[in-house]
Amino acid sequence: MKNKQAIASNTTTINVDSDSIVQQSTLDANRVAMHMVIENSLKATKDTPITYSKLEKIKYKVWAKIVPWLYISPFLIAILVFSVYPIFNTLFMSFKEDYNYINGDYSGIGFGNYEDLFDNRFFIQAIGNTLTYVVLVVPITLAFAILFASMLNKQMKGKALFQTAFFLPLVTSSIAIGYVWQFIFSGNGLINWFVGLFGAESIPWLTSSKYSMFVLVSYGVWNGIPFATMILLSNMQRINKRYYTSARMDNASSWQQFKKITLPMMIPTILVLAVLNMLSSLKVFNDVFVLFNGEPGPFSNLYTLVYFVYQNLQGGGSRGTAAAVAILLMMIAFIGAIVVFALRNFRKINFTKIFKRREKLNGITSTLDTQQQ
Amino acid sequence: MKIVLEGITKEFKSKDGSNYAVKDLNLEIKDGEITALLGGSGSGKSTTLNMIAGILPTTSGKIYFGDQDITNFPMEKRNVGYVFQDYLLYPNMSIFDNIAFPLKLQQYAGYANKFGLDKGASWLQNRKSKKLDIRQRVESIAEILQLTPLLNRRPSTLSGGQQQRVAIARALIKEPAVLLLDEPFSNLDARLSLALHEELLQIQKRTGVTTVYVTHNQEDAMFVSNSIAILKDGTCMQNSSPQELYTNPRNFYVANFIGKLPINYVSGQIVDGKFVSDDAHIQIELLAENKIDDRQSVLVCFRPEGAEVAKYREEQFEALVVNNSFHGKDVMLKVKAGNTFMTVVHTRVIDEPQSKVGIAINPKYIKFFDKSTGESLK
Ligand SMILES: Nc1ncnc2c1ncn2[C@@H]1O[C@H](COP(=O)(O)OP(=O)(O)O)[C@@H](O)[C@H]1O
Ligand SMILES: [Mg+2]
Repeated sequence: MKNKQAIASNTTTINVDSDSIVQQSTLDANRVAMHMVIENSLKATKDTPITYSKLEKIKYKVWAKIVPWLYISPFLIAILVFSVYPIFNTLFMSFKEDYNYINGDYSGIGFGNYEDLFDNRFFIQAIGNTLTYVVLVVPITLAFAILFASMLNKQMKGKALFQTAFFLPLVTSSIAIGYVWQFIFSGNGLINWFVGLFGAESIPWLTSSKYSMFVLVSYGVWNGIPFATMILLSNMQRINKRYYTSARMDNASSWQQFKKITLPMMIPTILVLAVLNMLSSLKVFNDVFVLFNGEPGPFSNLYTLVYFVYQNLQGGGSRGTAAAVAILLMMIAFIGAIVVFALRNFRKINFTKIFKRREKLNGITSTLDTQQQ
Repeated sequence: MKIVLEGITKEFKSKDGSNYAVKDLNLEIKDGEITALLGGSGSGKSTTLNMIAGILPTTSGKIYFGDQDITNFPMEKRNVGYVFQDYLLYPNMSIFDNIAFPLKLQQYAGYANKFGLDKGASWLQNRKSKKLDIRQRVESIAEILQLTPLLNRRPSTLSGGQQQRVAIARALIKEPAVLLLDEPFSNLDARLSLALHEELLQIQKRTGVTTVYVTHNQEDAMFVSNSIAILKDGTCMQNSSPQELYTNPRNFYVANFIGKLPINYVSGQIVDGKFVSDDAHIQIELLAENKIDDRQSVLVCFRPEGAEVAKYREEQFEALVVNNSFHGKDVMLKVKAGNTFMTVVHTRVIDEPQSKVGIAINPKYIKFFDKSTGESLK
């Protein structure tokens, strides 16, 4: 009993309630008993010691350090060779001025390549186009994906057919799709035929600088929707249906259910999709290439960053410039990802506190109002 | 508000036939009381509750709230508060927003009407005053349920008991016509469950809301409700007060179902105004008020506390002590009388193995049931 009390006094009992102290002390006594059991069992193992020689110990220690690395080495080597090395190589290349790829000569090390870039009309255009493309494609794709996912999530007629048709782009070659789109948007293509039905003039979708961005963005959106929809749909199907039952009993309309339950529960997924879509959109190149027969738009008006890189790697281009653009692109992607994930943390800000503060202010102004009256 | 279920039936159709979860159920739930739907698993409790809430449509029958037939009302028109077993709080909202959720929806619903009609008050002022009103109402209900310090937290940071209190607050804040709870506390440990039951009783008394409480735990049902409806295979066996259920079960199923300790029963026959057990070991004189035909096969039931243990005397029957179990104040003796095992309450442990005791059943506590139908015999 003495022992128990000593232990009890060790622990800080804030509550000076005799019952709780007794409880506490019995708890502690239990803990002591448990420790004794463990110690005894440890002693038992100590009685039959297994000895190792010094060499064996060192061997074991070294081996224990090496083994984990061996396990991850296949993947690690692949990353080093195909990812890390190229990135650093590109970084160094971007600082080599007047770099000659064939013989490895360069005139100096510095920011020359970067400085040149900002005097290049096509680069400025490429940045503008790429950012416009990303800013349009990402939200539009996600909006459509959310819409389609909610539609697919509901019971509706012909759902299976719709679903299959819907995921077709995912399994079709993008080049093939590109040609189909070229046909759809060409001068006497599907869309213009449709436009013609209403008696309107044909629209030069692919051959006018006015509409080319629109076509490019639609193509990007169309390409991005299936994947995003699939992910969102699987997320949506995991939401407990009884949340909706509960909300309906509270008189929530379908829109309110969507806004208050579906959307908030999908925010993490939406953000991840936004980042993925942003990264792939920043790299837009194939689409331009396929839609405009390998040209950067009808009047060279659709340069994108990667197209610019591609052109600089071609024949007469400068590898140093291409490397500099690649590095800038990487930085933009990095900043973009940080921004999107910052949006996620933004949700964690305590709005109720802000709300309260504002309400206090409101209270003050409203009392002032009544006083004036 | 009074709830009347008039012959409601729920049929679930599947590929291999159909089954009736609820079958021709008649039930009246009194205004301002707590009624428990009690029954084993699969007895149709949840189905019944879901039909009252409008989550499930009825196959046939009628449901009335007060005098109004609401059988075909959609759930959003019924104004019911529903508490789920797994709380179902919205994880992305604070506790405040969770509780305010039904009010906020009403608030927006109100605008549509108010917009054109209420020309005196500006839309913005309306909005402000409603916001303040919501805050006051949430705070007052949070006070009752001791949730005030938790209002800014998220559901995931609360314990199960706290979460369920939030769910109750959310159900009550819209001042529902009826409050429906489906096994609300069965995810919680016994102590906490008891505390929450007490709280539920308090709140129900304060608000006077008609409450239907589904449980498979008869002790909880006894503790919390004014009236208990025992369900079996989708029909109501008996709907009466806990005391009435305990002392006057209408049939053997109810008698056997109710009670912390299983009821004792002896199978036998009436011979010359006397009950004789099948093994002829136990004989009980019928009272004058027991009007049972001769030669009828019956079950004699009595609760463990309805019998007395003593030294064997003439009017008693002899039994062999099999087992003692200590329950706080009392000792439960398991004894064997003839071929029948029974449990009786005693004041002390009887340790000597195979000791013999006399058992006297208080005739007032004896219930007779028809052996073939299980119905109570007067
Ligand atoms: N959606 C359903 N489809 C088919 N059968 C169901 C469905 N819901 C419940 N049942 C059946 O109805 C009976 C009663 O179920 P339920 O009301 O949930 O019982 P309880 O809540 O009393 O445990 C059970 O036999 C169950 O299998
Ligand atoms: Mg159930």
